Amino acid sequence: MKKILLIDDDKEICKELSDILRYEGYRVDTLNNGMEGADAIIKGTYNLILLDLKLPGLTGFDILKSARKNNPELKIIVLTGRPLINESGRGIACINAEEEFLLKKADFVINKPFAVEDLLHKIKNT
Amino acid sequence: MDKLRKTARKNNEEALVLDRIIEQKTRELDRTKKELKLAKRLSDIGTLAATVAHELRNPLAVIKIALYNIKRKNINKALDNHVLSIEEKIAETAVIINNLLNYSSIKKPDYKNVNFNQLIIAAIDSVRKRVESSGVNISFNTKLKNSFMMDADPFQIKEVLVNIIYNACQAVEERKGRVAVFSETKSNYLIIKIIDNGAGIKKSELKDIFKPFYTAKSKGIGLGLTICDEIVSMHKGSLRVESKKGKGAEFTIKIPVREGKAA
Repeated sequence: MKKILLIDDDKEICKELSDILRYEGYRVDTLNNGMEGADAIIKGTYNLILLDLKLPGLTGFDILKSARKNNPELKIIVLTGRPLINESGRGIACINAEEEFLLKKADFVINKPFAVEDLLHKIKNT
Repeated sequence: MDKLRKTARKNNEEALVLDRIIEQKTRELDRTKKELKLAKRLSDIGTLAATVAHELRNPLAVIKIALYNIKRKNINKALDNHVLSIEEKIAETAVIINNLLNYSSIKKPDYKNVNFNQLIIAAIDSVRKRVESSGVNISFNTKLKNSFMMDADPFQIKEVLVNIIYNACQAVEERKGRVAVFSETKSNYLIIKIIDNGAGIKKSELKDIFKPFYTAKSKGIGLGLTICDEIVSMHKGSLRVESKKGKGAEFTIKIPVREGKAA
């Protein structure tokens, strides 16, 4: 069974999304703080991280950087409301070069609001 | 004395030339100031759009996920219609946010070699999904060969097509509405026409419909056609509309055929 860690400062997203993921048969932990998220990734045995970018403590970019350094095999899907990609999937000028470089290290980047079916499909195939 | 007069005249002439240069430079400076002001305003709009988009996308995501849960747990079929209404409004809101973002961040086309018939069909399919409950009929006819390829930014052009075709579907009456899409090449130009039998556009509104933030509809912020016009212009083409109130509208996209230059 896939073990998922969802890191998002929006408690309602954590509540609603974890409900769906548990129903789909995944084990899910949720955290609302970047620092706690980074710790949990180091200590935990997660197969997949669902990661918001705007977080208190450490940002999603910081977590992405440290997670890739310590555990290159870990699957990471970024879920963000930041206008990083438009419908075409091409970057628009709201992130700097370093952030763009870091984002490429994620397995997928999904813009909010997303279709739940699309996320479930990606989780299943990641 | 003559020499003095001559020098005075020469000085006067030089002063006049200098005056003209100063006037010209002042005008240039004013123009640059205005351009800078406009650039700053557009940059402010971009920053505002990015901030607002982020702040709205998060709650919108929660609503959408919560709705998925409601649908999953819903045993009362009488609620289905209400759920569908909320879903449609979420989609509309997401489009408004994307339009605002796209307007503030239109980039130069990223040229790819594109099969245009496939691109048009993909755009029509995308609109059909959004309007399927309205019963609007969208047809497609083409004089292009199935194998016709040319260089264009596929994502930008699809956005233009989706925008205009969706507008056309909104302009027509439910069930009786017809939207026809047609494509051909003429004199080395690719021409795509989107024709509807809807309410048409008033003559007085025709000159304004491509202006930013202008909208004659009760919904939207009036950026869709501005973005379309901008994208087509960046492909060195033109976007024209012909319409009469009550007689439908005909949008024509005309782009020079560009082959084999895509990276």
